[in-house]
Amino acid sequence: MTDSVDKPTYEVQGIEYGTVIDHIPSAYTLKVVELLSGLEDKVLIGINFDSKRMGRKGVVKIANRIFTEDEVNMIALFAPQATINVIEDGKVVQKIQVKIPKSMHGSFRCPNPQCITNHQDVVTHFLIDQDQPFFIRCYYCERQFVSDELKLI
Amino acid sequence: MKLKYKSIISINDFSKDDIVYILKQAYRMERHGNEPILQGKIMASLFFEPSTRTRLSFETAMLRLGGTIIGFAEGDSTSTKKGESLYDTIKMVSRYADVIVIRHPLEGAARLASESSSLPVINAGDGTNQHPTQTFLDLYSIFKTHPHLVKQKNRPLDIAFMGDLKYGRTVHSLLTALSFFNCRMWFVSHPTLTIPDSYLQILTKRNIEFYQVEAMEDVIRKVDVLYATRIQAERFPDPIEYEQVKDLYRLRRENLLNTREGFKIMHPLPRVTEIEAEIDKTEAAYYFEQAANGIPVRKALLYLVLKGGLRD
Repeated sequence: MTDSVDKPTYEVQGIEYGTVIDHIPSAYTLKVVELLSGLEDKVLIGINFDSKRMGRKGVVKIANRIFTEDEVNMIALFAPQATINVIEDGKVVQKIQVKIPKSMHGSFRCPNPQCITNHQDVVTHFLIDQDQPFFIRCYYCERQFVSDELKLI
Repeated sequence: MKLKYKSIISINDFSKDDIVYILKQAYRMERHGNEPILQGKIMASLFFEPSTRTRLSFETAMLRLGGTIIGFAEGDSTSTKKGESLYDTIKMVSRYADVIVIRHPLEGAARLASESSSLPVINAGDGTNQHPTQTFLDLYSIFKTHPHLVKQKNRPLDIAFMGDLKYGRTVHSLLTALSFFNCRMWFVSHPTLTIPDSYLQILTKRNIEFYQVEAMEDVIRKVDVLYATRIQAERFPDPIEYEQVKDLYRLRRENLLNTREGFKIMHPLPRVTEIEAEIDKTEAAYYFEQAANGIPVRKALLYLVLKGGLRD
């Protein structure tokens, strides 16, 4: 078992090497899986686990993958409270609090069908206003969106 | 801000100081007349969709300053039809011209064009997104008719926006730029066409006082400028409702009784029925001068991006 944030035993098994994403709002757990995991990855998913901090939460464990800062910060758009635990030899070696990124390249499609990025071969680019509640603005068409409107490419 | 070799893509890229600087340059350009100060320069006028007023205004500005023009007036006649990407078209044109003016039906096209070229690119409208030179000419029109706008100590300028405030690109850009200045705003619209909250948030952030009303009669005597816009039939699912709304936001000569001294009506044009022709003869009618202001403003922007500022 990993030395993770909430000590009580998870009903999903631990991983020896990889990443545990904890404190995800339950409703966004599968979204986080979709954002981070590849087709070949071994993924363990827990939804509606008890959490002191959040009441209910989601936990995702992805074996054999360590993510870059940009990759994990992307999930802050859906799970701003999430913590990332890097696991090596079954132990937490690094704990990272996700941060809302200032900008994002690629990854998401612009939800505006009239945006040039949906018609030409252009890498999408979003700017994120850090005010609370934050909003996401397409660098090209300048429309504002909330994270729920974003779809992965 | 140094504008030489810079692109003019969105009003959101400009600070208050930039805006004041550009308006002053337009004022100088207007006094300067038609000297051939851009002789030898070529403007590529790339209109992927037709826009007669904007295109003629840009081309007139360039020709008056002694420059020359290459380009096209509608997308159908270009290699885009053969499948060429915007990136490739802009790269190719960059080898021919000194400045690119682009109008495109897709939003963000001008930003993409500016990234595809080392030449300055001027956005002449990208879909329903931005049309910064329209915003500058609107600001210039307000600045010319009400110079106290730029003096913070005087009473605020009262401006009413009327018509389609929900989808009206010109209204959104103008109110964003005006929010840097000492003014008070009145939004006059049918409940289905009110101003989006995101713009009201900008005003709140910048401490601008604003009011939302339904009837034009409630505000017309309280303002210095009335900025009217066209209400489009396709915004209404029910054609009967459109007919009713259209008549509610139609300016008639009798509405002008007891308006403020120096009161001006502005409109980005084309108008349909929002302003009756009788008003054209009154002192309040400013929309045709407003359109003419597009020339000094575009001259100033072309000169700024090609050569830098004009001195007195």
